[in-house]
Amino acid sequence: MAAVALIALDRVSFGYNGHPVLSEVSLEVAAGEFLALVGPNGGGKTTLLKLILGLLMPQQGRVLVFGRPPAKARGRMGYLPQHAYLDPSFPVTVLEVVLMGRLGPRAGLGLWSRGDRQAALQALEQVQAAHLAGRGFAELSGGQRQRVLIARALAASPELLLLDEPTAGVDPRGEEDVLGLLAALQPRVTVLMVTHDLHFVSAYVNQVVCVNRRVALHPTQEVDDQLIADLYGRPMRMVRHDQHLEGGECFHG
Amino acid sequence: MAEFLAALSQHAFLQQALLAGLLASLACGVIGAYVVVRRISYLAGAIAHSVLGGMGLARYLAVTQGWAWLHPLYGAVAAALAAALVVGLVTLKARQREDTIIGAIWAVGMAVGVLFIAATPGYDVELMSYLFGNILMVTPANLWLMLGLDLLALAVAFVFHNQLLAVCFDEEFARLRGVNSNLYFLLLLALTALTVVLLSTVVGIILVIALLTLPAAIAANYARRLWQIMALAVLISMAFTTGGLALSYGPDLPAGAVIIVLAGAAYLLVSAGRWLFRRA
Repeated sequence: MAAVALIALDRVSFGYNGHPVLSEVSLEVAAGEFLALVGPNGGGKTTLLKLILGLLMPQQGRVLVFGRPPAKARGRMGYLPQHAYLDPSFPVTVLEVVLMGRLGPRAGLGLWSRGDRQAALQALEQVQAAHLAGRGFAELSGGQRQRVLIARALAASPELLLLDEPTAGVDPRGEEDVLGLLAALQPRVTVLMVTHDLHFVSAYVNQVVCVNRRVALHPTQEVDDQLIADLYGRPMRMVRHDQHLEGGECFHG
Repeated sequence: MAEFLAALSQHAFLQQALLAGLLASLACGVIGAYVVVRRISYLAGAIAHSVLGGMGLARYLAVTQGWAWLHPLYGAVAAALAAALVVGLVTLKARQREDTIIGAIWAVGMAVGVLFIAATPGYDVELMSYLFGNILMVTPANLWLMLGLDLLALAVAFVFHNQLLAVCFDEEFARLRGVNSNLYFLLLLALTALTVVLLSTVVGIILVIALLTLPAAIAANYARRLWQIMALAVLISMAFTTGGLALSYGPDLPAGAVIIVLAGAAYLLVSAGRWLFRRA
């Protein structure tokens, strides 16, 4: 292999209490990609993200990000956690939430610097939420919160963005806005995004990663009804886009 | 009330009591707000009750070894910090039986204190004032120690506010940003321990938990930023300690208990008011 892959998983296995969630997963992602992670609930999508972030340690195999162990590469990653695990009544303003994205091992002691505040406001502008800066996080709608948390992930100008269901709780128009925003970050930022609605996403992403204990990488062109049916165990409606779709299966054998 | 004001201008012990209440309120409002938003009042309760062990040991050593300088408050600070460390490590490491272990620390700390007090020669009149506080017994030396603890807690809370806020709001994300979440969680418990000691001089270790949490819980209804809750909680706590002291003076009631009942009544009123307001 000539260039070092941005993300490299080598035969990674992980399970909770002896129940395997991912087994023997290998995956390489090049810089500048926009990937969607799809698969059934419990299939290991969030676990895969957390392994890449170094929040979980592989029980077997090896994860490298930017050629280094994940914990050493965290400063270059941005992360949007799964919707709705935060305390919805926590007393914090939107700007304060986004500023958390500027924290570092030694950054953010005492009062925030003007540079940090400006970077946070810029991140809010990127998600068209600058007008919310002074509002309480608890007062926002689900879609607004999601935008603010994306801004938090963007606040430190990451080179790799990992998003766990960024469009959950967002209305369809807002969903297109969010996806357009992520697409606009290409190719400067590599994006990995867990999603449920493949039909929306396939117009934006260039690869689809199917995650269901194992992992299979597909160019978007291969994504079709058969793949979705294999993945979820039943057919699902999918909006077709202008690109030509060919037959293919998510997992062979 | 007029009687209280007249007595206040005459008696130094009453002025010291008032000052003790105001000093304790500073840390109470600031650290209490963290305790409320991070939902760790149960951990604060365990730390508070463990303090009796330290107070009992210090008292025992002071009497039996003749170490007159060893005031129970020093024992309280040491025991509170040790309990904070143990409680914190249990919370971080032993997720399965966490509540069982915390509850045990709670009771064992008290039991150790009771044993030391029983073994100490002389009358054990001290026990009641450790448990329920005796704000009228505060000495100028106590006040200096309280001021020191206050300044320490407030300075640490100010310098690390952004980190503590992030760890309370989203521990996982903070960790990803290179913030040592576990360390800051332990720091927060250590600050809680110092605050518990401060408040225990006012209302005693059994009643601490209400005074630590109720002002911040009331303030949280009226503010949407953490520092605003802190500032408001400081004022509310000052009102409770001062009001409780004044109300208890005339009829000669225990000040600590009156302060707590006052805080509980205020919380109930505010909650009921909000409930009615929302239905209207």
